[in-house]
Amino acid sequence: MTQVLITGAGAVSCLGAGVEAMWQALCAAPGSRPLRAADPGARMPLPLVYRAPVGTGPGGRASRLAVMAAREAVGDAGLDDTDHARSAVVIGTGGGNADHWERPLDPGRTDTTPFPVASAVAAALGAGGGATCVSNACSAGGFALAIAVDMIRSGEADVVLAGGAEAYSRVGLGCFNRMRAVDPHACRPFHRDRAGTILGEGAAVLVLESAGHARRRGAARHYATLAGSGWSCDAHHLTAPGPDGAQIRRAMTAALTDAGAPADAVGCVVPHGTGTRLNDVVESEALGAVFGERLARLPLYSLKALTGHTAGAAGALGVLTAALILDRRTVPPNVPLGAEQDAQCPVSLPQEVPVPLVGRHAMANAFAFGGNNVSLVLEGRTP
Amino acid sequence: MNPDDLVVTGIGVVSPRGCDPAALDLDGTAPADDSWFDATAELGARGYKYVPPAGRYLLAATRRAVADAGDPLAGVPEGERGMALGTNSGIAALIDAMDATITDAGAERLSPATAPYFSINTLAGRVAMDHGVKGWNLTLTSPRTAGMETLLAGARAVAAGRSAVLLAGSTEAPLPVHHPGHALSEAGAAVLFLEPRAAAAARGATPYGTCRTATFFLTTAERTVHEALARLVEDAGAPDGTTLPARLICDPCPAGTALAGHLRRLGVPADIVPPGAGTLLPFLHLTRGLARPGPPHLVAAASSDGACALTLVQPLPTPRPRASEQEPR
Repeated sequence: MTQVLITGAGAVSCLGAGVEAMWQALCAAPGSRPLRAADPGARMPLPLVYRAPVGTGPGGRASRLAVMAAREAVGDAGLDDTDHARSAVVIGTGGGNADHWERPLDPGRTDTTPFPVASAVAAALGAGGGATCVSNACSAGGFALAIAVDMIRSGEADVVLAGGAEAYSRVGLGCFNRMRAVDPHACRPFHRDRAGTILGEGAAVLVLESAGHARRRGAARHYATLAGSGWSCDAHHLTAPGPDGAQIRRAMTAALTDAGAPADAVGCVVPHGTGTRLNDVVESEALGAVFGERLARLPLYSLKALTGHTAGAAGALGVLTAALILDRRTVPPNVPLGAEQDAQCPVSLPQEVPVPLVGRHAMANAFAFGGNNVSLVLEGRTP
Repeated sequence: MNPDDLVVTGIGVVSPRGCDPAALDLDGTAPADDSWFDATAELGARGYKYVPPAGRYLLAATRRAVADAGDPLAGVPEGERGMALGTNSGIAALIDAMDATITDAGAERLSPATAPYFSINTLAGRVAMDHGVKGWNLTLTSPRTAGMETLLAGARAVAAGRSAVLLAGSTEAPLPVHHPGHALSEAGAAVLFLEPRAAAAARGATPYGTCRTATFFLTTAERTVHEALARLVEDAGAPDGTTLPARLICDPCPAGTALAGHLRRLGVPADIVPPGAGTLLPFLHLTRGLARPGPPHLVAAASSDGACALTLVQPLPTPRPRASEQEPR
């Protein structure tokens, strides 16, 4: 089977612009608090969001975030124009360019969809191999990466720019408020007092490339191999996870099988971990079913405690985090929970100091409304 | 698995342009409202009150496709069922109404029953709940081409072993009345049921045919249409691509003009059709093409931002027996 390498990466989130800014923030593990949305139309009890620095320019906010991350990724990978011309683009986004579809409305705007995000990346970078926008809500970025791997394995493409992007949406935030799914304090996955999630903006784009193509063009390095993915759908409820976690468990085991990795080869998991009450419990139980008694000492890195829930970008930012952990052989310290960790979520969240990575693989999870689940397994470089 | 081993054995359409796939009236515009759709007749009187129009259309079209295929899902484990949906404006009017509520009365006045549908993938998620689609479920939203892309993404997922069967389709609902593009609004849904040729044969189902999609992005440079066309016809065993007729759904944007030019230079006579606002019209064209016996042909679509898709439609050369005339399953 074709090996798929991560040869470039780009990111933007409330942690800053750029992969190195993100890694430094992960290692510093600062307490992270959301801001009140700078939106007078956000008439809701908890108008909270983790904002990302978005550049100016044409296109909607999600498109601009995606293009920022994609430009960094292709520069990081050292792709040239010939590579660009044949590259495909797959970008996940939940709400797309919501700023173009929410008030104040521009009567001169003729876009008939808020989802030109993948096209914006393809146009900005001259990628000719197709531009697919995936809108599987909070798992969209993870699915985009998994689709990209399948494209390379099937021979459709040698290089795919894939990831996710999400921008502020008044309607999205309003609906989370109405569903009583917003925590008034911060995004606090696995915290005993968590009361919901808090949405965040961000984007992550990875350059995925067949090992053969990377070798032929003399790619300088790669972060990790994106070794496998597992997909499933709860088919249970529009917003709540299946309470038995059977389908997210199936996604994880399928990803391990696809990657050819036993569960005990996984040295770190970047969970979906949103801070909503049921999701964190169901995911913890499913992780226990997959990893057994080792769960108590298997390091998890709870990314959303720093970035908020970046929805369509979350899976891509999670995979990027897993790739950086494998690349640097270090699990950054989690935002401290201490004794306030929920006893119903008996996962290992190393705090205070970084932990050396043990194991060759890492897993990232992304689950979503609609019951859409995807797990991805990455493999580190051979020492 | 070769992509052409996946055959279409069920078609479901609900549209103001008609519900008989072979007799769809695809010329001109169609009513941009909900008056043509009888939700009670399609879905029953209860259970779907809060589902947005595009979700109801999709549910109805899926039911029709599954029934047309001979209700094969009973023989397919839930974890082996996959679904791919293409949509652009499926929840556009709902989002607009929610935004009006939030900015006026506030988010507390939103209906908690409809709030989940702010996320466009809940349209397909609702279908998954009805039909036990637990293998996987994708919602694609690429402008104009997403419906056609479901066939590519879905076939790829089946080939990768992620499911045994595929529901692929498109659904759209009208844009808000104040949107400049409202006049181009689409309404309705179309769904195909696809399964491996061997599985269809084993249960005595007669396929409508096959459809195979390639995508590319037209940049300013001379690009990949030739490669995409070659990918479609070479492995498909179809006649030389240069003899295929094509129907191209696009407006007079640079990408559409460029794609038409590429096809013309390749000797493909393209009949250019004005687009609707979303993903449905190209999907209806390929659906009608499958339902009518005839030679292979291409359906192409280009969005104004440069995304393009080509689908090679290979219907049966002769009329397909009606379901009641097929072998018992």
